[in-house]
Amino acid sequence: MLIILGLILMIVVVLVGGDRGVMSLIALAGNILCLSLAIWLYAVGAPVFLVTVGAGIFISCITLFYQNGTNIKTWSAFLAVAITMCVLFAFIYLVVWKSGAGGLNEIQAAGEDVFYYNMNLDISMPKVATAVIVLSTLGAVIDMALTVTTSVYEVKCHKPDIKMNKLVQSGMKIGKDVIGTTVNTLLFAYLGESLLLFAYLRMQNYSIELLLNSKILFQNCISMIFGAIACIMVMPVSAVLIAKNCELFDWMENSK
Amino acid sequence: MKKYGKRISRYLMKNKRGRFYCVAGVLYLLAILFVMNDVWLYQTPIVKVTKVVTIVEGKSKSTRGTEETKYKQSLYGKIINGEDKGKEVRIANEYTTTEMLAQKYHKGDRVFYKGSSIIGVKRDTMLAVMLGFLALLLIGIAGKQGGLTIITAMLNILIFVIGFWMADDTSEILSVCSRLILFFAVVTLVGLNGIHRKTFAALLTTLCVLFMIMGIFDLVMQHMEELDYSTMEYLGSIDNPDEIFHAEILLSGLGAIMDVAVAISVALSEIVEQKPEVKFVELFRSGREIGYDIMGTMINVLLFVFGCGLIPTCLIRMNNEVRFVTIVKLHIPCELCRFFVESIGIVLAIPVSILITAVMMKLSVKKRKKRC
Repeated sequence: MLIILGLILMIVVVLVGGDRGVMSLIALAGNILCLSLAIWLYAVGAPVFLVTVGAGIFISCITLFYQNGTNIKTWSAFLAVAITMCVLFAFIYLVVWKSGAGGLNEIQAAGEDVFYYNMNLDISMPKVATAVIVLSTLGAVIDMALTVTTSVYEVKCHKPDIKMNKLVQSGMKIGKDVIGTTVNTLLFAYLGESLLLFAYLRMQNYSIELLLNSKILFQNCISMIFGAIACIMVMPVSAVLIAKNCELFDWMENSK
Repeated sequence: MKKYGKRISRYLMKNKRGRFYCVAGVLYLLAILFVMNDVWLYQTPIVKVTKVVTIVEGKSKSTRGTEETKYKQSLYGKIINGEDKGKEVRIANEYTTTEMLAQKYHKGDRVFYKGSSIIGVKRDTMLAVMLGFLALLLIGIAGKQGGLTIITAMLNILIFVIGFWMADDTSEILSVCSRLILFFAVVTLVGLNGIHRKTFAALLTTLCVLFMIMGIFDLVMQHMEELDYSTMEYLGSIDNPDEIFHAEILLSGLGAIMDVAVAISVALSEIVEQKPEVKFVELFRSGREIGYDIMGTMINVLLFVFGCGLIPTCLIRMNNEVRFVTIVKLHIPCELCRFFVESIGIVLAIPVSILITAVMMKLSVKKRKKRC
């Protein structure tokens, strides 16, 4: 069943994407490997935040440098992602810590796993919750940063004597066009995730006030909100960075 | 004279914007203040913790053999709403270093209190703060587009909530969901792009692709052994897991598929507008070029959203002597299956959307020519 679906996916990607389809498949496999490795490292008790940062860097490298080549565009995008995520990391931990959003949510805690397994893992679950949010926003953020830097670079190529603030502006304009659909992509991904949950809660006759304050809703909402915030914040950062880098590049060429 | 007029108008424009931001900021603050003081709306008693005493109760072995410390907390607080307002209470709480099922409480936390224990934390303030922050950021940085995004997202959530409120129980979730999908797609696409030919192309593409992936999924299901739904998370006692699973696939892939469809249809219609005599093959080629760029990253976005949600349960199982391979084989096939089906949808959306957009745009150009 799974193998067949996986095969269909592979065939479709190769048919539609050709060479670059194969490349994105390899990158996908790399990312899955990275994620599994990170989970394994969490499980054996490695420091959570260190592993998260490492996994984040690896994943960004695979997605940016392997899939799109090493150039000024990908470097700027990488820096922009790094800066944004560093700032947000502290924020996310603060929010998770303040609202007690770590650990199993109400429905998982009502499941049968709780009886079968020993829950004393000696791994701080609030930290794991932070890592989950950081990593799950990463894909969208990288996508956004790369979109902005690529299009700014394209503008620069067509009009080499363009001013820096004009470049930043054009980057922001493109970002604005994309942000709507990106936010909706995230929204639907999480709505789909929480569909079962709504079905379950309806059956359990959860009251609205407890539902609004439940950990399960909070975990889903907060991942979505931080994903969107990260995507918006990375927009100006990457626009400025690529514009600066273009200038630097020009200056280096001239001084030669 | 003209110069001055221009300057004044510019100042007004700036001022208007400034005024708008001021109003938005004040509204945000007011909303937060309201949510912070909304305890009178709640029926469940809420306790504000005023004093916390934490003691180490003992040590036990964790699953990996390391030491796990057990803590015991005595929380002193006051009920701040309802009939027992002002009553002092003392609550006992226990937690371990992992904080898996029980958590640590701090001074100033507001918690729901029932019987003599805590049944939840009041999280609505934090939620309001984050939502408001996101809205401000969207309007501040993305301007009008950001406002449109907020409106469509709110409409979508409204549709979602109303749709499920109308459905009496979970037995007809699939039919409800497939009707909702239509609303979602129309609202999102029209809301973000306006009424335009390319919007219809994107809409048509989205629906076609959804139809195709469900077809593929059902076909594979029929010819292979049944997927074991009992591994689905949060299953509980729902009696029609396959319908819910179908609905989940439809819904969570929708956003990504729309994203691809919009990107391609907007770009292609731009090309046709600039160069009405462009050939079909050329259109196809540039559509493919755009598709290459989106495909990989979109699949990655979905991978991280789904993959990361599985981390906590994976950690528990791996620490309880369940091997990683076993988890993949036995515990998460549903999640994997959904991820595969949706990725197929994203990839299929590329050729389908190129075809539909190209045909629609070409037809409209031909019509215009005939009229001339």
